[in-house]
Amino acid sequence: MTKLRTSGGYSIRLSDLTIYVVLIALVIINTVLQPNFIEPLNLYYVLGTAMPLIFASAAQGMVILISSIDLATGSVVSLVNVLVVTLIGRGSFVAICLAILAGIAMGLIAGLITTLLRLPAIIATLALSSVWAGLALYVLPTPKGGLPDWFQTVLAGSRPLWILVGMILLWQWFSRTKQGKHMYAIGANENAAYMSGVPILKTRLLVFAISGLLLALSALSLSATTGGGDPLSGTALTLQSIAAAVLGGIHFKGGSGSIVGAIAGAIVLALITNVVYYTGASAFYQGVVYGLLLILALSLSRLTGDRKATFRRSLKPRMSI
Amino acid sequence: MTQTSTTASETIPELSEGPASKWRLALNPVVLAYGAVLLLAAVGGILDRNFLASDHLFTMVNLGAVLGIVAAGQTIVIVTGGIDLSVAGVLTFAQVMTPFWIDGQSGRWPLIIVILGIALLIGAVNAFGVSVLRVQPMIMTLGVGAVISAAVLILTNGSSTGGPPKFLVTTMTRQGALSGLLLMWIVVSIVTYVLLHESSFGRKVFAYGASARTARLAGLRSGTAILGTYCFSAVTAAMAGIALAGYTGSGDFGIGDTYLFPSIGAVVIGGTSIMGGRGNYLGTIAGVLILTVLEAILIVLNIAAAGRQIAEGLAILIILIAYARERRLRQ
Repeated sequence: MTKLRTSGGYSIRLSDLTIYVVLIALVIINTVLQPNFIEPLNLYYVLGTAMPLIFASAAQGMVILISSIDLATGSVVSLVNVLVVTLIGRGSFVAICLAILAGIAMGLIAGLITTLLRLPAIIATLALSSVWAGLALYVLPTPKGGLPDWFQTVLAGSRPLWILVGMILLWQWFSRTKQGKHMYAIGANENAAYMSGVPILKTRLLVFAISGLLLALSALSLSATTGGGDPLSGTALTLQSIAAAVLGGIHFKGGSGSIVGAIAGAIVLALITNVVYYTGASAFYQGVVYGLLLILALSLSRLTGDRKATFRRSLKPRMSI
Repeated sequence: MTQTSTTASETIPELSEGPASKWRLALNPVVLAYGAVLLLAAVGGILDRNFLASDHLFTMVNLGAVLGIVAAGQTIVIVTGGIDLSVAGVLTFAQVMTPFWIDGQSGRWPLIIVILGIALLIGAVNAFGVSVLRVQPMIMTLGVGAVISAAVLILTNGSSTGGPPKFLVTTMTRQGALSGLLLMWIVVSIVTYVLLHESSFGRKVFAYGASARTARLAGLRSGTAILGTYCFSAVTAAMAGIALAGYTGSGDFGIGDTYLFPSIGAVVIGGTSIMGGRGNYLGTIAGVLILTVLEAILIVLNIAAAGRQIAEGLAILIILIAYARERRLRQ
């Protein structure tokens, strides 16, 4: 049996820390603009509204780590969101279970199409996105409320924080398992991973299934924050999740980075919205700040430490038999 | 059709040799794509007798023209191995700002040139990010697109007012064989074909797309190729936006997004590899026609928007399975 030793999961590079510096800076800016910001209740609230993007960015991060990409993120979230709202009448338990199963199934379909049929992910998930968006529109043509009150309190109080802590712990565990290392190996060089006996199909399907599960959770938290269903509810999440994952230091070509970074990236995007709101500037400026930050963060990491990083990436994963 | 096959075999040299070349020619994506257009048109003709009437054909081609113009620029970007997500922002920018700035006064036509100039600048920014800062094309154009979309909202304060100049409206809404939209698509197509397949710029684009590293080692100055590519894409997106402004008569902030994914889809189902280095602009024209005719068929069948989206997604998937598969890992 081949044993893999990768540095991907827990090596710390200076450029990986950038996102946390930006995160802390944004927290300080927010506190200066609005002293109440730092109060726990407000922080929980900010986290709660960011939960859909946090889950979606984690899902996107998993897929980018294996050097793939998911352009169907937003449509999957929309479809699960409308499924929950239409099924809630048949019992909350059934609705939530079916929603999660639907998310996993959609992830598996994307995994099968890109792995077994070998279609390029960028275009295959684009086509899938059209299918899922059409289904969402079919299930629920117009926005509708009607989720029970308890559903809307799922993310109340300190719960978002505990969910976040749970996610980070689960990731720390998963990235150290055999499957986690296989995932990094595929992302760094799929051919080399195949030659070394990494089960490509199984690992890729696992990653896509986890990503689908995370998207279902994103949809559930979106349903909880909005209290209803909308066939277009997730649309913005596709591009935002890619931005968050890449801002968070996940290498666009796969094989390096951490989901914790993607989560930080998602929180950064949420905090930018806050800053723009507090400064009293028109909400339109949000897009400008977010676009410029994306370009700036990436070009900075390229200009500072990338040559070394690329070199290191070429050595990774180191394998020993 | 014969012209299509000869150009296709020129682009992929190995097609002209070997005993199996005839079969491989038949399986050429560009040929397949035009076959799919004819098949879809035949299906449409069977479903509705008026489908192939000249009036309806021209209406379809006019509707496809806007997508065709955006997809022309997208083709060259994808051949370099990149992707341009900022076309949505640029198209919206041109479509909203043309009526906003011109405000129905034909005397202000130079503003159209200003808008094209701004598009050129946006393309240059994209190219700068991709070739100098070495940001992934997808991320660079995503960021630039976000900035432009926001800038349009800031400039107009969120409400699209004004109107396009009269001459633009009359040219773009004219129907039939000599409609402004169709003529524009034809001109853009000829320019794109010559640029991509008959010029040294095009050869640079293919070389860079096949392998950026090899191209650099061979002494190609890829910077100019990238600059030209992204500027061309931004300008075609802006042209599509200006044409649409004349066609629809007023600005629409969401219009660019409706063309973004079809523009990529048209390029890829036309047989251009999303990985770059391989492709043919003639295929993109077929891709645009496939998407347009398919949409028209679904409308004839009275299928609601939801069903159309599902069918289009599945159709693209099936076409991709036919010829856009990557090589096996083992090879």
